[in-house]
Amino acid sequence: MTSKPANDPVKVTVRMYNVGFGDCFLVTFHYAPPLKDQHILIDFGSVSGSVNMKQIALGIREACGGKLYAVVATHRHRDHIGGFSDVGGADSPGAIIAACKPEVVLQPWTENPDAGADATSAPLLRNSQPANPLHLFFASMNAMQAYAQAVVDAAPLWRGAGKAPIAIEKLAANNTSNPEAVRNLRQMGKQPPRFLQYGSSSGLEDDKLLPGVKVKVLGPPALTRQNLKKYAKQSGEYWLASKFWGLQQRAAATAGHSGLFPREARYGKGPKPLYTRWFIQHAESALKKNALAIVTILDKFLNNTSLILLFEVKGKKLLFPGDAQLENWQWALSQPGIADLLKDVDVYKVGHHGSRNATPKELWNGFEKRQHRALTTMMSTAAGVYGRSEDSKVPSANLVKALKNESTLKNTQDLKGGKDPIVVEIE
Amino acid sequence: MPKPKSPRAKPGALPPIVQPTCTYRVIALDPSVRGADGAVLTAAIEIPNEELAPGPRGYRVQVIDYDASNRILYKPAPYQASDLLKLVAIPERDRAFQARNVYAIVMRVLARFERALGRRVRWSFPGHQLTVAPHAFQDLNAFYSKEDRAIFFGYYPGGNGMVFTCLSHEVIAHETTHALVDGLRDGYLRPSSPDQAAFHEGFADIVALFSVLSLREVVSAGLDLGTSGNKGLVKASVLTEKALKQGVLLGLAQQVGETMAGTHGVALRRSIELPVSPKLAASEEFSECHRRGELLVAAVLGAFLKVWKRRIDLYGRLQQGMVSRIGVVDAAVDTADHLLTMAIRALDYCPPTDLLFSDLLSAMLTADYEIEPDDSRYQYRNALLAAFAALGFQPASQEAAEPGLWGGPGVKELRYSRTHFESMRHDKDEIFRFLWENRAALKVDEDAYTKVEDVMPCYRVGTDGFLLHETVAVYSQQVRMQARDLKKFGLTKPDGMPADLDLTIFGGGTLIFDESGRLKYHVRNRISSAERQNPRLEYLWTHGGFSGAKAFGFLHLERVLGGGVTSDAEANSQEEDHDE
Repeated sequence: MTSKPANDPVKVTVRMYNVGFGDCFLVTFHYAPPLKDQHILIDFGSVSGSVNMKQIALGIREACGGKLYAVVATHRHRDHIGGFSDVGGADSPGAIIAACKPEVVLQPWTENPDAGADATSAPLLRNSQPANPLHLFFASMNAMQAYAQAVVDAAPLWRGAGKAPIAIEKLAANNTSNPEAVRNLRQMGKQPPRFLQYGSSSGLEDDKLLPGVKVKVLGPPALTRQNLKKYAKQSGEYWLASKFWGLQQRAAATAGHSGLFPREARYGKGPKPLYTRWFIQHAESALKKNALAIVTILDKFLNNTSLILLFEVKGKKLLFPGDAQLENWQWALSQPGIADLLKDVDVYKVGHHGSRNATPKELWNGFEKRQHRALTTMMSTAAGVYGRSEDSKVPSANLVKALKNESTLKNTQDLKGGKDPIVVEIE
Repeated sequence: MPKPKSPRAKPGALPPIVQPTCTYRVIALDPSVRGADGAVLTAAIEIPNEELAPGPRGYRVQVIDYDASNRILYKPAPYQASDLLKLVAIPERDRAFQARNVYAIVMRVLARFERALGRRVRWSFPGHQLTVAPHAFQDLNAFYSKEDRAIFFGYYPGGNGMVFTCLSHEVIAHETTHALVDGLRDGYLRPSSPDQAAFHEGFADIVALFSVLSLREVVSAGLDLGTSGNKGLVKASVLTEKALKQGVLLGLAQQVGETMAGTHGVALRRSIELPVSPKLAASEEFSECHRRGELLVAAVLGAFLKVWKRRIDLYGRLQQGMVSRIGVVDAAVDTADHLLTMAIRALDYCPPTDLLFSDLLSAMLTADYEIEPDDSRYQYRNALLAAFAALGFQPASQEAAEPGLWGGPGVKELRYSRTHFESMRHDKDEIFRFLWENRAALKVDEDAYTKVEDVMPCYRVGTDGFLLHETVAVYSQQVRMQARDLKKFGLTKPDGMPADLDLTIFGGGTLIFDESGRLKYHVRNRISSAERQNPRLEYLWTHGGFSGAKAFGFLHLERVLGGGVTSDAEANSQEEDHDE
């Protein structure tokens, strides 16, 4: 499929909307008349409660003239797809986007209902090992989201009524299942949604509507490819993990509702015996820390289902990896030719809001245009939401330093709450 | 504000404290394992006697039954001496039993460490009483937490009702081991090598495994599963090493219910099933920390089977090729107990930093040699060497007369004249002076920050029946440097490591003095040992792990979820969850 050079886009514009901690990018391919400009919306979500998503949706509608060519939902996290929820009717952000009638919606294979994405049953009670890792994978994924929901539900008890939200709540809320957004995404495209994995054809390339644009899908890897060598040996671990998440979710879901031993003598609401007080405080903190560690694990699991797209337009390359972390990248980077393909990337959407291991060293060091600061990086993030220690903080100070020193960094934090998007133009 | 009443046990209801020990009936494995009579398999264990406060709360272990998931603090159950040996029909429903069970098993492990080491053993936190919360969270995990000075046991709804991790003998022994080993060697949680990363889990599994295999009731039940139900005799022909492994050990492991799968994965079962090959130690599959611990367990288990079999053979056969069942059980219990002593005592003979399995092997051999120089009857040391070699591990030491033992300090002249013999037995400053005076002879790097961490007197009965008084002293060393400084210590900067990267190199040693105060062993890792430090640097650089020590709760998650969990989760597991 080759288009005549005369029909190629004359310019590409990326609008970075300020959604706080989240992603929302509108990529516009500008054509010379009579061809129409085409717009692809990549993610639309936020975990920051103060962001007016409806206003952003209206901004997107205006920018695209009421018509989207495609919508890309990189993965199921609220900070990427929360805005697609159409609860609230025609005025809701999700309905406003759906009304822009995208031709097609792209999602990772992990969202495919035909592959089992809606499977909720974990083989909790069986001791023998069921043979279908795909089913186990989806059962784990859904149990993880149920666990996150249970944490959200339990949080008021953990923090005490009327107290300010605790750190874990946002992270957990980001990992709940977002059913309204998921449903809306499945329904909004003119064509049936496409569920992609490494090497799939994106379905975006179109000689008539989008000439001169090539799109490669670099992630997520298919289940069997996440670690092909170990896959056969470790399929037992899928079962264990699935069982773990199934049980864990059930344990968390019933917490806070009743005690174990309703008839046993217990202390009332008043002050507890002196020798127990230090410990009670510590046990409560240990409970939260344990839950935070678990939620972080499932957060990463979902991040690694991110769709990674590479757009090539007139010799320019734009890389959109969602929140892919090291494990997702590993597959693509180990494939022949991919490292070469990524050498001359011009625009890099910084993975996972600038976290430490979403921009693997191997990937970053491979970007040759860093050397002349010809690389543009785009980071949509908000500090103080995610992680506290040097290791887990997002954005990571070391990465931001490298982005500033070796590329032209566009950072939504620089908008300081401003409503207009940052516009990046690629001639 | 009304003052809450503190419950008191009835006067006279406590066990008589004149006896040094008392006996508790506890769960032998976990409640899903039934004995031949169909009842939950229990065992009677002997632990130190003491006057307990309700809880029970004792001098080293206190049970506080707080459920953080539901915010319920249960009142301590009334406590009676007559309860200790009571058989419990449904342990899951008996909260008082659960508290006693967990208290008794923790105390048994502690007492076992103290017996092996010949001294009091501290918890890894600064304090005397470990808090145990038998119903801490509605969660699949059970873990020791140093900063909370506690072991938290989770519970969760399983397939056949509620699963209590506080009823799993192995889980309790495993967590208690973490609390003790971290106190003896706190450097082992530091990022270093796959061996060290796997050590804590592997070692805790070994202690847990031998804690249950040293219970007569467990071995007997295993024999019923694996061989025959004959009460008095067992057919010798079914007592092959393979049958003991497949029948007894695997049989028992398979009986253990969901508890293990939920909290500690299936590592134990996998260790038993491991297809033995000398290629495993260097294999890619087992260089992953969460799998590598299985090799340690498999090696010690291999030695156990060999010695057990040897002992059974020594008993000889009765008529018609039958062997005495009591003899078979005794042989297992004694062998498990002996290997457990070797493993625990080995900690005193291990370097305090950057432990390798080969160090542990040499340490186990040396520890055993010190107690029983003559190993010709059961050949524990031989069996251990062979079992490690079968998985591809050689002892760290090649220098002593007997294979694998640590050699002496290897120095002719040490200066003792400026230190005092008596002070060296308990005084860190005195030990430091000894180190400093002899730094050249002992090759203690002068540029490093050196600190004596511990001086511990140990008592044991020598082979001649006399009491021996030895002293174990541990010193640590560290140098904070930039990568460019590595070459000053003869070390190599890994490829691609920036010259200005800040890093800390650790070293240190264990000094063992004999009863006349002369240095007998010096087991150490030098800062400037290229052979030890370069592989560590290379490994940490390529695996991206120069960050802090791991939390135990996280180690377990990593194991269940196959190791692919993020270092961010690790960071979060250690973060304070401040209110925003």
